[in-house]
Amino acid sequence: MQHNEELLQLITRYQRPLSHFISRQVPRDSDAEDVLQEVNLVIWRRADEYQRGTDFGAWVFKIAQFQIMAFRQKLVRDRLQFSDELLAQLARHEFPGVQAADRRREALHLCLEKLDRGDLELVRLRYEAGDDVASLVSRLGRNAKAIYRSLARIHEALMICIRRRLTAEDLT
Amino acid sequence: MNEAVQDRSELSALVMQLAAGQIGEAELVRLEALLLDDPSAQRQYHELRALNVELLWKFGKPLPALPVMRQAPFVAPLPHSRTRARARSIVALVASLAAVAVVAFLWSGNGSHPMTAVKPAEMPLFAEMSEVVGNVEIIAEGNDVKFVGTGSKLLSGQTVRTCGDESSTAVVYADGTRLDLANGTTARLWQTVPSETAQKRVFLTIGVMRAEMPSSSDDATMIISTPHAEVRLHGAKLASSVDPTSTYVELEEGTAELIRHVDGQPIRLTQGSFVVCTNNIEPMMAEPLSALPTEPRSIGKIHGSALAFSPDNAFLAVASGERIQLCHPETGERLSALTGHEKSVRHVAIATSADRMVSGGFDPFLIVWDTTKRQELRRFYVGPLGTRCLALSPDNLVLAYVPSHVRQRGELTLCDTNTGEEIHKIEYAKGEIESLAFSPDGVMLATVTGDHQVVVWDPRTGKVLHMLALGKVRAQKLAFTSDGRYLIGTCDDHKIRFWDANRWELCRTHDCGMSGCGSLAVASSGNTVAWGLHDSTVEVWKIDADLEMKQVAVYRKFRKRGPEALAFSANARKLATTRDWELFKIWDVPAEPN
Repeated sequence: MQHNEELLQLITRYQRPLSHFISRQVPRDSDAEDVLQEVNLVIWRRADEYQRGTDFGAWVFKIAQFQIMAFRQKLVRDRLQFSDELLAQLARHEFPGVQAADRRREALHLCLEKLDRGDLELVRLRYEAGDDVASLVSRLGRNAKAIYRSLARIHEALMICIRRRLTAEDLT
Repeated sequence: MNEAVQDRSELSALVMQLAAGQIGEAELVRLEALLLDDPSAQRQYHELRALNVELLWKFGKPLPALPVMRQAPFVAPLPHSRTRARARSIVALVASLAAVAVVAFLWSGNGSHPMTAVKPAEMPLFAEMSEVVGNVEIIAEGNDVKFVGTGSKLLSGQTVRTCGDESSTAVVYADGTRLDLANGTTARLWQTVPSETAQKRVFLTIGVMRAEMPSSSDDATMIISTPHAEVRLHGAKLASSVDPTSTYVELEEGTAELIRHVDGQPIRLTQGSFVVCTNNIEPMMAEPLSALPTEPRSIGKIHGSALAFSPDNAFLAVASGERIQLCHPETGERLSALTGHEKSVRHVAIATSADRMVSGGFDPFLIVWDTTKRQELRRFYVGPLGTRCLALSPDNLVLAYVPSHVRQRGELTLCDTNTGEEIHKIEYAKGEIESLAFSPDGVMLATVTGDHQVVVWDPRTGKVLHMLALGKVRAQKLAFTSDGRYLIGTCDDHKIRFWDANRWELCRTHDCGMSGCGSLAVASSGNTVAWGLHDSTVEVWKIDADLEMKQVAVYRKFRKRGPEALAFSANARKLATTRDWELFKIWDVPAEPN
């Protein structure tokens, strides 16, 4: 039981890093969430294999990688996806790791405060709505393309802001 | 705008379209063209995906509240906007895990219930903590945890967790809606604004919760999501209990609809009905909460594994986790707690003099308590795995117990309750000893043994008095009737057997139906007996000297199985019931059969 509780805490701690790891290779959010859930289930199913004191992160990321591969094989039949060539190129970029993600998150929080109220509201609505873009369209009275263009602008602004903050931190 | 900038904007828009699943084939080809062989664009892609994850976590994904683990783990909850299709995709895996009961917690909610956009700092206060007992914590964004007390304010989206066995709390909304969370419960609470007509959401991960919406709030709705189902209710009173394997919902008032995650099967609950939902695709039916009386006298705020009324009616002892809660025998309110065990208490026995109580369970020690001073008197070491069962002799002088660590054979120790000195150690080579019952005069001690027998001992000498062979049948619980004439045993062939305690002959069997029976209690007077059936029913009967039986009451407000423990008050007018993951209840027992 104690082992289970420790494992649960570790899994909870790694949910965010796992989300990042999976989303780099699974471009659709709902698919990435499915894979994350599958990873969680596999971790529990193989809980006995995990030895305390060993590198939990390495273990779960390995599981995640296998689940991503399994997921892709399933997708071959029924969904548009990137070519193997592009996926291989994307995979060459190194995963920045947990600490880098934490720094980016802190920077993001500060950058969000700098957004216009309208932009912040649009971001919030987009992520609250999840896949349901139709509700967003009807609510905002704008077509989907226009919404995505606005979101792209906001995301770029956020990315630039995050980069600047991280650079400034590095310099200090 | 130069071409590079234009491409970057297009790339961002396409990545977001792809993330939301809103991309066509031509657009995907275009996106691939932008990314292929362009490390800079690929870095941008990764940055966008990372940003997307963070924004999802910030705005779209409920916090992964740490569930309190009891029997099996939960995976962290899924974000909202997930559909039942995903549940179906994992059901095969979940089924393979079977008893492990690892199931995905489907956080419900999608665009059909839009939340009013509010800056985090402006997230409205929407409810207040009330009647906080023990360690209750609120988990805020960023997994910041703080312990709270009565009067603490709740923000929408925060998680409330009652930690430990002695904890409970109520959450009171501005419109009067009230949630009672029992010990070991984790729930994330959410409410849209404005609060007056708000839709309330509760993500009940594990534990026991009662919800009461005021009749004036009929317009408002509440959605309760559990790992197994989503329940939508309107102006209702409802109790829900979630354990790793199932969700139980009973509706006292109003209307509600439950939708099972696994297959999306809906079921409508009407007033006075209950349903049990699992992640297995099996028939699911709402059943009536019939019973005489229809309502328990009171419902406690904790769940437990054993209980006993004090003979002087001063308290009801409820073993809940490592503590024994002494509760009011009428209202079920907690009066005080006895602490001392380091592992779960599974058995309690109170002396007929009411001033002593013995408890044991997974703890290696048995503890004798002074119930007047409410403190520990002494403790006995039983064994590393604790106590399998125990009983106090009617004169309170002899304590009988069976240690759990002894396997494949029986070992029964009889000791002096006051000094702890061993009187006899009975060895039984043919199987483990599993249940104990003293006769009312204290001259016999009946036991269930692993070799499918009921063995009756003389507790003064440790010698066998009688052996009742059951063939392939195994007895579960034993009790003597209050006049000592009969020994009653619930058996695993769905029958209850009555043996004449003078001639030691089987004199009656009672068929308890397809579901089988388990728990058993006999009142200390009046030959009133109760047994718990596995179909979520408890039956109370009167038995006369000729073994004529008359049913006194049937109680049905239990989960899939009847309670694990039953106890009568001294005058047999109250029956207490409990089991893990179910709030203990106190029932009025009619004096005579209806």
